[in-house]
Amino acid sequence: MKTILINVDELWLRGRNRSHFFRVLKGQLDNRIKHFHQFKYSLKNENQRFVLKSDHDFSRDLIENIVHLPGLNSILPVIETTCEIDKIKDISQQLMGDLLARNPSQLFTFKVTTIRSDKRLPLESMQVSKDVGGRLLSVFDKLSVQIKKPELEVHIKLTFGNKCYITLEKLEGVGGLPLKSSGEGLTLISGGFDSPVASVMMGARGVDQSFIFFHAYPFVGNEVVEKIKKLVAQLAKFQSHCELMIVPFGNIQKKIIAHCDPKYRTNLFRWAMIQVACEIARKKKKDCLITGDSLGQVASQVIQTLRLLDQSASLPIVRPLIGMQKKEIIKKSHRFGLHDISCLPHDDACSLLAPKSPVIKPDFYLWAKTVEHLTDELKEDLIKATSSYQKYFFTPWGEEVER
Amino acid sequence: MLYLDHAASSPLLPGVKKSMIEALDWSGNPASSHMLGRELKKKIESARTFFESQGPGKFIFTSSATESNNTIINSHLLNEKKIWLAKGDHPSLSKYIDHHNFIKEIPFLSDGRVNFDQWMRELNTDVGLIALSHVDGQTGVVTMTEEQIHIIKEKFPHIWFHLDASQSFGKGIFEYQKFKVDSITICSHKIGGPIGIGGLYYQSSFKPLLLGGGHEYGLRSSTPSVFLIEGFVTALKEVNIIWSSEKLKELKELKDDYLIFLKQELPLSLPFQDYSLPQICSFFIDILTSDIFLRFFEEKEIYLSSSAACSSKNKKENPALAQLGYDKKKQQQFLRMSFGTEFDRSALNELKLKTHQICEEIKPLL
Ligand SMILES: Cc1ncc(COP(=O)(O)O)c(C=O)c1O
Repeated sequence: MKTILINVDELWLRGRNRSHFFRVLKGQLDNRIKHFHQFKYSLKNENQRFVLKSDHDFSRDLIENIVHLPGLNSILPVIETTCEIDKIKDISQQLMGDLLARNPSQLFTFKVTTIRSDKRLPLESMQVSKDVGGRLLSVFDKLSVQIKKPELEVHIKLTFGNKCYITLEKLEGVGGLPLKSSGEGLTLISGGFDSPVASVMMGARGVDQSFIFFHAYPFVGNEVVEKIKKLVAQLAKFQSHCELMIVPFGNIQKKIIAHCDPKYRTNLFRWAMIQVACEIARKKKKDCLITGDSLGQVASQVIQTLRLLDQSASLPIVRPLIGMQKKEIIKKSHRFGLHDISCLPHDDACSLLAPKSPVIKPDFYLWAKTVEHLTDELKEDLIKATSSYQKYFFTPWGEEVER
Repeated sequence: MLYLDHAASSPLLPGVKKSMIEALDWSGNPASSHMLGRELKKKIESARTFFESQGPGKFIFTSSATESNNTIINSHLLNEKKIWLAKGDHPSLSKYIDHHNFIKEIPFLSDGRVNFDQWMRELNTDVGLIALSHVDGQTGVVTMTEEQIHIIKEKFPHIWFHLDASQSFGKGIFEYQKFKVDSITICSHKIGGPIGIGGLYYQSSFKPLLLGGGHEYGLRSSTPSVFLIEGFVTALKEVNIIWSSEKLKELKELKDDYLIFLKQELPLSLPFQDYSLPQICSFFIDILTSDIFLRFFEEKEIYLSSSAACSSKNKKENPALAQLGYDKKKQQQFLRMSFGTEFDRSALNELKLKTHQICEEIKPLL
């Protein structure tokens, strides 16, 4: 694979800023390519898409990594030729032959899709598809045509400069907008399914992120940190270089447990997390917090509680999963390669810390009084938490590095 | 700081450290015939003589209790006779359950002792080896009395009886010189000696695990480490003095005192209290997983164990407790404190104070 086409996604919507963000996106791509490909290459803008070329093959690792970069619609490792029907047929046959040889004794359905961007070219897209399809059918008896959802698809693109790109492989990107095009966020991460999915979704809306984890030691053991690092290593592939902060939270929890009505305990834990996260985000010049809240999923995610938390926050709290069903979230979690990591067992103090009967509809007056009292009581602990965290750094290829 | 994990490993005693530093300067190979070699040989043999005064039969040095156990079991594997092991014993013994076709499992009572009556009904002459921990590393319970061991040896004199005394040797409790067993494993780092050395008492010869230069009467080849031997023998001499009957009596009182105190704070089960060494205090906290306590104590610089050191990280079945009939939930409520010679009334008071603080933090959650 010496040529890769990289199609951008929503960037074309961004009228006048487009060229700026195109450059930003190119920088992010360059960063990843340089890591995986130690040979010379060129990355050019060709009709609003990137064409990546080198004399040496690009590795699978590179292709599989680029797929995570927000703002890309699709990634196609292609063979380049000229717009001559015989060459197109030969190359298609060769690609198909290689694939079938890798899967002996398996039958496949397929179709051929041809797009002609340069309408001045003499070849007609319908005719090319038909000719190539005919050739493949006559050579390979394991193939049959199926137009709707075939197992294999030959993509042929006839474009400017008499160029033709052919491939059997089209990898879908996460789409959306390039990182940093929508500012920066601080994501509150837990070991579950929701917050990691929320992070990727906002990544694909162009929010570059750092991560914060509230560590309930001694209620929870240090093994959980390993799990969080594994999760962030995967999330980092959807980010530029990112930071994970592990904030010690046990002492704050102990005080809340000692001083407050157990009914409000979980909500107050969340309140304290928001206070600490806002302060850290402010110091780090972030624009928003991101959480994995889905409305009503647990008692502390009812709208009244979210309202109270929003009122106490100095930054907007972005909740991309707010209207999503659990099964949609799980599906995305699979798609983003997060599911199996979220499934790893970790010991979780929820059953111990959760009150027997959490408040469903918080009393605003009581809440205001409790929070006022806690603000005094916890002042020093909250300040300490905003500076006494452990830091870890991750590259866009999911490696932990020193900084 | 309170270190209450001596059953996992006991810190070097001060005299031990001193003797080892000195011994690091002794150069040469004890097998050499020149003067330096002869000097080293003399040191080793004098240590051996001391060890032989403390146990039955002859004595060799090994690298660990694990090696001593493995040596004895291995020497019986070719022999097509039954081997009795405890399923929940230390892995250096129990791992052999999967490696031999003639393994029988020793029955236990829920208080940690061997179910002697049942076992006597099952035990017959078709047995080559019995290998068992004298004191269980997790519960701290003395699994068999000296009398029970002797009943078996009298009835079945041909059975090789191997006792792993890693947890109990040098603790001032048993006079192992008087034990009529065929071999005994002992461990240096459980009594404040260095890690990396163990020992084996034996009555008659066996097939060695390591072949080579014929060291240790040809039963365990490897050039002996003089400074480890020096540390080990110094440790044993020190603990023999420290673990006096008065100190043991005091420790037993401190332990019972603590358990009475703790029972007022939390609901406990104490099946092992009456049968364990004074140095080991093990119990179940009936309402909470003990890992949480472990961390609350750790936060206050008190170090203890929620099960044996080698198995406490994984949340799988704890075989030592499973063997006694405790289910997984119960196993996770297990906590062990193990005391060294420095534990006294003032340490107990500190332990009580911190325990009380922890209970105050946890109680609102219950
Ligand atoms: C009963 C028993 N046997 C053997 C050992 C193994 O000691 P080592 O790991 O030093 O060989 C231990 C240590 O935990 C033990 O408690």
